[in-house]
Amino acid sequence: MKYEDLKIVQKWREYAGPKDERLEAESAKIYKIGFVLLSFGMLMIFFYQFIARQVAWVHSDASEMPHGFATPFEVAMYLWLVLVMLICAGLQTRKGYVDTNRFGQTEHLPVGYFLLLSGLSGAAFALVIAAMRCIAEAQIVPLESVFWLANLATGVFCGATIFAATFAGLCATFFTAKRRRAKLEAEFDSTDDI
Amino acid sequence: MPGKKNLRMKAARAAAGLSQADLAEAVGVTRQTIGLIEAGGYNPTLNLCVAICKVLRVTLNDLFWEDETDADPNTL
Repeated sequence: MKYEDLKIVQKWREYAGPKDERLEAESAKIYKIGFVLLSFGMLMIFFYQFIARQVAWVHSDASEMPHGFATPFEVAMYLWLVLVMLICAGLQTRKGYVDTNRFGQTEHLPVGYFLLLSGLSGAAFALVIAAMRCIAEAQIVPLESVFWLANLATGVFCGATIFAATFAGLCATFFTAKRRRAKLEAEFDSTDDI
Repeated sequence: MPGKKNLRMKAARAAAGLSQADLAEAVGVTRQTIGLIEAGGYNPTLNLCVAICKVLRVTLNDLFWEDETDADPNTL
């Protein structure tokens, strides 16, 4: 049974009246902005907290091993945020596309475009991670004790990992979307209605 | 406003003796949506275009088709 066929949904629609398509479109844009601000903002804040604890641990005697830098509650929040993002990516690929521009539904893997996106993501994360580590360290030790180069190296290593993971993720979503698109197109081509 | 004003729709609505609020209620949208379509600030879906045409008893061509001479030269 479809959601629209439910009696309670039909009753609600009779009561609330038809939806204004412009308001729906405007709301979609607003929610999109909200999603990006909320999810990436929260990830950055969690991330900073995680890095700050790790840096503080390094500047103590770093003897407590193994050491947890996030509570189970924080880990659950991290995982929930990542899960929500994965669900959105999954829903997008189920519709048969990976982006809304001219690379969204290409037949051949847009390697250059994906490398560009992955490169920008990797570079941005490298800078953010290095900067966060330096800022976190500067809060707890004098500037001359900050591990500038080590922080930069950590940022570069994490950036390179994110570059590779982003590229692999984009390729995986591209091929999933392509398969899904072929299935949708096969349904459009069915001769049932002729 | 990003688009071109739809003065033909405004004229057709006036000719039908309907206010923006009347037309909005008839097609199931808000008055602001009708106002924005007439002012060129919103590009309606085909479903809404058809609904508006049915209420105003005109065709899609009458309200929404633009000949090349009518079109904005910047878009050509």
